[in-house]
This record gives sequence, structure tokens and C-alpha cells, in this order.
Amino acid sequence: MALFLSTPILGFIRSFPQPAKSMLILGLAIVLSTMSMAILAPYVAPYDPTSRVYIEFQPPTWSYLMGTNHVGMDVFSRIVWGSRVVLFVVAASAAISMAFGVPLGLISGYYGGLVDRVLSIIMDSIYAFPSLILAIAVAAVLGPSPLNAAISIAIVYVPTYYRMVRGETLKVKQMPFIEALIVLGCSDATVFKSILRNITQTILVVFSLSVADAILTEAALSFLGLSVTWPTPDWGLDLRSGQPHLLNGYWWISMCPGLMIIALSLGFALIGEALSDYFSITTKV
Amino acid sequence: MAGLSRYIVIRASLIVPTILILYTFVFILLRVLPGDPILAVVGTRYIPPAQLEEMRRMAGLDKPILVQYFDYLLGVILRGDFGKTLASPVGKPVSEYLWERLPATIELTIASFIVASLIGFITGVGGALRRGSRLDTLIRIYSILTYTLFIPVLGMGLQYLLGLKLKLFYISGRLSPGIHVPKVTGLLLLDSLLAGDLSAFTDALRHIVLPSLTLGIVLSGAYTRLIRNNLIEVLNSDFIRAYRARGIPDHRVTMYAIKNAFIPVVTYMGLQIAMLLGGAILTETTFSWPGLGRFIYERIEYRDYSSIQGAVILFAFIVGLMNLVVDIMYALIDPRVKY
Repeated sequence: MALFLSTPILGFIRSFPQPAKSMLILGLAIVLSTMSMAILAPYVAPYDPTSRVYIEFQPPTWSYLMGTNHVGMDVFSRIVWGSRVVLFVVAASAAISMAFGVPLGLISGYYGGLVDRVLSIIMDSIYAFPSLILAIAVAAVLGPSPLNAAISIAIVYVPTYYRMVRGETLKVKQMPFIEALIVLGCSDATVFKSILRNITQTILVVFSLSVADAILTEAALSFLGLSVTWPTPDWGLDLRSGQPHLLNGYWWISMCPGLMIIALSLGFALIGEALSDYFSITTKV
Repeated sequence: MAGLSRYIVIRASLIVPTILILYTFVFILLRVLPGDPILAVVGTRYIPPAQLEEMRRMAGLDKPILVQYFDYLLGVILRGDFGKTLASPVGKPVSEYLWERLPATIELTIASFIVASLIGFITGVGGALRRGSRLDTLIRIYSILTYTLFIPVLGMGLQYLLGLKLKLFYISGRLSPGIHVPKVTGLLLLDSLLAGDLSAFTDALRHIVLPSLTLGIVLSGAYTRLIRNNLIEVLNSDFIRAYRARGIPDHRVTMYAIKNAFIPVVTYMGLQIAMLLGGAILTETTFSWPGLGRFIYERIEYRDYSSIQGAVILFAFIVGLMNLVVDIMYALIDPRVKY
């Protein structure tokens, strides 16, 4: 938090033109409040998320902000604790896919040749495939658990990072300062570092937009029963288990976690949109 | 047209490696990943080792991996054989399920595509023609919002409002119990019309509205954005200025611009198909729509690995084929494509 409040970052936010500035601020507000909710879960959640605290199907009241579910658990407490699962899975998957996608993209774009051609064909084929179906297939084989969900999501987004980094590397590689580094006899590692520093903006935009998408993929996996198991609080799982009761008119059990999924995804999407406006980067994620 | 047929043949042969890579990728992925599919089916139950071996043999998992790879591929291509189910019921051909479920997914996909392109066209053209207005801002927010709409949430919202409260549409399934449509294509809307059964047609229509609206809305945002940006670009181009300079009426100039703005949209449709099929899993699960996506979901519960593999590989073939169709359409629409 201290990092975000430091003046250079505030100055950076101020330098955004409208409407990108409003989008960035709204996005940051959503993402940061969800993150603090996850970190402070034991203090924010009024009740134990996995035990019965009141009668079933209690509509929202002041003591039960989002009502209770079909077994009398507090929906709000479940949402607070559930944010931990979503953020863990999404952070882990982003880290894994970046760890593979960024270096492979750099190598492919910088060296070209056969490696580049083979990698590109493979990545393009994965990219063309329905990402959700791929994630489901992987998660189904790995078995249901948050870490496995993270791995399946990571595989899906490797090509996204790869394609973007490769394209940018091809562009940056031709700039005079890179040629200068090569002529000066710098090692490949130094050149890579320099290229990387020049494509951070792109990586940042791709990161925000693909995380927005990854949140939906995570929700989809847990909606389909491929992440955590009941009664662990999780937004996608709660959405699924609340569906039969929605059709009896108890909307809060499923709609509250459902709207949280959309809100968090929207938060990252807004940040991504604002950043791509600011850096004037056009992306197709 | 000789040139065009040559183009189609070349394009079609280029699709083969794409499909092969997808197949290889799925195949390797499902095998190198940790986790034994047979043990996953069995779970915590005790099964004698001999019976485990039998199951392994039935799934073809006892052979060397290269043999498995070619056996399966040849089976799919030559006989449409996708292996046998591993769980309840055991040993049924997976292909039977796949062919039974495929029409439902195709019908839903076509309906959603129509919804998505209609909404995308109206909002995209509207935004471009009134660029910078309040309407344009609203349309832009809409296109970002659709990007993050989670299909089950939107679907359940529509079920609640339009199905449960207003009782306009049915909230699950493809057809009401008791209504029977003779099977010709498997697409109920088409089959009921072919049979001249208007009440079955309206029944099927009232079933497909909510799922196709859900999937259509979620996908429409991408079209909105694409059509808006393309149209703005075309409206600013030289040939449009030339038309205007010659005094051609505004509405006709707009028509020319729209026609030209559509060319990139067709290419994008190829990518959209992947999203459409992915979205179909969630839509079908939300609306109990008996298609391929729902089939995958049902099989996950049984950990029926060979069915999941079959469905995923069928999806890979469909994606490859649809990309070919899009390529050909592109060549037909855009005279600049060389063939």
C-alpha cells in the first residue's frame, strides 16, 4: 500500500488524460479493495465462512449483509474469504505464464530462424484453440485443486504473452540503440535486459487484460467443479451451488458472488484499457 | 473461378497441419500431465489389479505412446472412432455421444452468432457515426463491460428476470417434455419447420432465446469495438472523401464505408469461433442445454477421461474447419486476396 501512495505513482496517475484517468482510478479502487479484503479476511468477515450461523435463505439484512445461503452460512463472509482463492489462482497463473511466455517470446523474436518458426506455429495453434476448453481438459486430468486450476490457466495464457513479447522484440531489435549494444560487443543477456526494459509497458498492458480474462477462466473452472471443493468459500463454486435456489427466488446466494467475479474482472480490464490508452498500445488479447 | 478452387485446395491443405498440431498438443498434454486417468475414474474405491489392467487396455493406455498416438488419430479420421467411455456406462463408443450432442451445440452457436453480430453491427455502426457523442461513450463502456461479463452470471440473471419473473422464455433444456420433432438435421428449429410443426418451432424458439442471448451479448462487445474502429478508419480514408467531393449523398457513402469496414470483421470471426465454443460450455451448463459443452461438464464429474479427450479433439477439428471456412469467405469478399 505504501508503494501505491508514494508520490511518483500518484504523479503518474495524475498525468493520465481523461477518460483514461477515471478508468484507471476506478479499476485501481476495485482491485486494491479486493486485495485488502483478501489480506484482512479474518478481520473483515463477520462470521466463519464454512459454518452455519443463522437460518437458511435469510435475505440481506444489516447483520447479514448479503443474506445467508441454503445451509445458513453467511454469504458476505464467504465472499470475503473467497477472494483469497481467486487472487491466489490468478496471481499464480500469471506468474507461471509470464515465466514461460516472456523469455520464449524474447528468444523467438531476437534470434528468429527455425526456433522462431517452430515456436510460433505451436503457440499460434494453442492460441487458436478455445482457451476455456483447453483449461478444462488440463484441469480435468490434473484433478480439482486451486494449484492445478492455476497451472491449467497458465498454459492457456503462455501464447498471449509469447505473441505480444515476440512482436515487440522484433520492433525494438531494429532500433539503433540495440544495434549499438551489439556492435559494442555486449553479451546477449545485456541486450535482452535492454529490450525487456523497452517492452515493459506492453507486458503491463497484456498482464492487466489477461488477468481480467483469467479471473473469468478461474471462475469458470470452479463453476464447473474443477478448483476448490465444497465447503471452501469460492466465488465460482458459490455461484454454481446457488443456481438451483435462484430459480426459487433466492437470488442473493448466487448473484452476490457472481457480481463480485464481474467487478474484479472489470477492475483489471479498466486498468488495462487505461494503460493501453496512455501508452497508445493496441492489443488483441 | 479456377483460381478460387485452387486457393481453396491450398488453404484446405494448410489447415491439416493446424489440426495435427492441435491434436498432438492435446494428446501430449493429456499424457504428460501427472495423474493417472484410470485411477481418477476409480477414485477411492478398491478395484482388483487385474480389472485395472483391463480398464487400462480398454482405454488403449497399455500400448507404447507412439502407437496410441497413431491408433487414435487413424481411428478418428478413418472411422470417426473417438475411443470408449471409461465411466458410467463403461465401454460405450464416445463418438455416439459426440454425434448425439453436436447438433445442439451447432444450433446454439449459430443462434448466438446471429445475436452477437446483430448487436455488434448496430452498436458499432452507431458508435462510429456519432463518434465522440454521449452515445458513443455509452457504447464504448458496453463493449468493455461485455468483455468481463461472466456467462453464468448473465445467464442466471436473464433466467431470473425473463424466465422466472416475466415467464417469457424457458430457462433450461431444448424442448418441453412431450413435444417430439422428427430428426433430420438435429437442429430443432430447422427440423420443426421441415416437419411443418409450428407449435414445436415456437417451443424450441422459446428455449433457445435465453442461452443464445446470453452467449450473444457476451461476444457482441468484440464486434462492437471492431466494427466501430474499422468504420471510423474507413470514414476517414481518401476514397470516402473522394465520394463526398463528387457529391454522392451521405447515406450512400455510409453504405460504401460499412461494406469496406466489414472485411476485417470476417477475419476476426475465425478467432471468435474459439471464444464461441469455449463460451458454449458455460452457457450449456447454465441452461442445461444438452450439447457438447454440457457433455464435457457431465463427464468431468465422472472423471471420464476418454470422453473429455474425444470432445476436446472434436472441438480441435471444428476450430480447424471453421478457420478454413472463414478463409474462403474472406477470399470471396475481398477481391484483393490473391489466389
